[in-house]
Amino acid sequence: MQSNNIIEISSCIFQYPHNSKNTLDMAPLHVRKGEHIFLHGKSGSGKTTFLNILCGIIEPDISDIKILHTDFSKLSSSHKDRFRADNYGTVFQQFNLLPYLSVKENIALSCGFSKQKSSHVSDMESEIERLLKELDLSPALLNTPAMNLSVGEQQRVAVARALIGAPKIIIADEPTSALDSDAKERFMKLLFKQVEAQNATLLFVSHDRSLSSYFGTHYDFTEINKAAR
Amino acid sequence: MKILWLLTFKSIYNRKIAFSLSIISIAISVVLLLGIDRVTKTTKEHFLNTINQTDLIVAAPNGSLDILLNLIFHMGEPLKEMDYTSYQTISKFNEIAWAVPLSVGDSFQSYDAVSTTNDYFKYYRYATSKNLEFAQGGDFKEFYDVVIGSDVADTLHLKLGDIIHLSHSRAAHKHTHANRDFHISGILAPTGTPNDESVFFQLKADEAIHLEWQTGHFVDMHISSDELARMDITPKHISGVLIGLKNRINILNVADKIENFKDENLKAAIPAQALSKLYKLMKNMQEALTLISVIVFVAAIFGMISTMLATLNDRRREIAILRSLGATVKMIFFLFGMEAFIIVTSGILVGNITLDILILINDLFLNKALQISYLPSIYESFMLVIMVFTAIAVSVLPALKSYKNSLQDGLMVKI
Repeated sequence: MQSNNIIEISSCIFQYPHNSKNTLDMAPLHVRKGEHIFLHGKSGSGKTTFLNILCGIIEPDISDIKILHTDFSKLSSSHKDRFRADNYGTVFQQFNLLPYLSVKENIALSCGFSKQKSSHVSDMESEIERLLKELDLSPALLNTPAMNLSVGEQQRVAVARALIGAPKIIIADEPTSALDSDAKERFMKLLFKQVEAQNATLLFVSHDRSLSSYFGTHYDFTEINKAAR
Repeated sequence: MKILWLLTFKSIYNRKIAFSLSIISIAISVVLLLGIDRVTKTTKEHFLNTINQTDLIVAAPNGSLDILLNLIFHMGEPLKEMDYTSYQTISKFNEIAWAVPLSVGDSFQSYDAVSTTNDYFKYYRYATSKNLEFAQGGDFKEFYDVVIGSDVADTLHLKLGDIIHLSHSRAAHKHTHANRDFHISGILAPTGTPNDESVFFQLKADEAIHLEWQTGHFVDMHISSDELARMDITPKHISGVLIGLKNRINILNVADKIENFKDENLKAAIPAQALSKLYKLMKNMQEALTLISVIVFVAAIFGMISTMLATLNDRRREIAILRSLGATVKMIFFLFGMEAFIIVTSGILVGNITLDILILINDLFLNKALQISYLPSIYESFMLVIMVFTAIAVSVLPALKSYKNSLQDGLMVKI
């Protein structure tokens, strides 16, 4: 029987070139389907490096990582790119959107790189409108260029893009750090509602411990990364 | 793939000023590259076809370049003259279709005056097979008629029926044949050949005016037209003869026959050979121009890469976002290659249109006779294809830089 784990990290070692010391040396980590994980840790603890490895942008030196029952470590870099396109939705701190594309085009962009995602969307236009509505964004913004949006609106559009096409894993890297506290709370509620509605697994990285109450599982990255201890 | 096209166009539109500048610099280099090539080739073609279908030029023993310069370009050191009787004998050779006698050495203001017969206008051909045409009037009818080239008419604002006076010799201090009124009977259409800057009058009129003018000073002998008709005014000497053969295969035979002519020592020059010899003098000039156009092209390519590299910092986030959405390295290279392709093809298009507009302006207002082609030659098309491939090849540079940035930045640019 297949395990219920979405992400299984048995080992993962990475060292930046010209660096005498490992940046990352992970203790085993398992993430179950639908789990909401809060990863915190001081800056420089290797969180971002970990996310880059998990997304397949950085190639670890030694690793044994299984994601969605796929031997992720053995995928070629172009397979990793496709894997990322198909299975991940990502939200970052800021600058998630292409400023010259409209809100609609930015959201649809995600499906442009993945056949799997676009196959989950029968009617792009109405799906985008539904997501905007769920995320408290006016449908009137649909054709507005992303550069005309407020930061709060941009972050919610980024969530819509991360969610469209029902990816199984949502990765959020400090998505609230550019938001004020009211907007932050609203953002977290909307994010959780949608992640739960899609039954997606959420990996949330932040140094803001006040957000931890939203999550069932917490990890201190300094504990996970043996190289940072 | 559709998404990549959309991104390319939207991204370019977002950077339209830098992008337009790149297109303009490519277009300028295309105008220079093609323009220089086309103009030099056209002028070469035109030059080598200054005179056509004239198989031989016969003159007294002079160098073939001197003969060409004097009889066709109406310049250079004066030729030794040949006997008119030799012309008469040679023109009766079986192989010869036509023979036109020419005398050069007189002038009209700064223009050369050539004395000949009406056959000149009948047989002279240029630019493969074009006839001399009269814009106004026609050939010699009266004894003292003169036909002028288009530039002469334009510059001096001369019209049919105007009276002009010729001068003896091409020297700076000229004796004007002030008494002899020549009437303009015809104005030639523009040809782009030395004919445009020449005036033509009859061989027998040439002889007549020199009768009055043997001591180097003009003496009015008051010869009436009636007397002229009765007088023997067959010229004694001429500068040379243009000859057309019945069959071009005989060129060398006839040349040989003329050079071994028993009555007089003569030289038969082949105009096509002499023209290409003369053209070689301009070869360095042409090479220099080609070199310049190649340098301009290289500069334009560098300009394109540098604008692409300069916008790279602005595009760091863009590329990181695309990578996070699953764009492969190949796609990033495709984006840059596509952009270079669009820049270079738009530049080529704009360049070609600009060049054609310039040629049109030339045709309408400047030198219609040159007839520069509006379409690129095979050689030029080949250059353009090389240009496209070079541009795409060098777009690897910014793409590579961008890829390295994305490895360093990871999924998110922390700026």
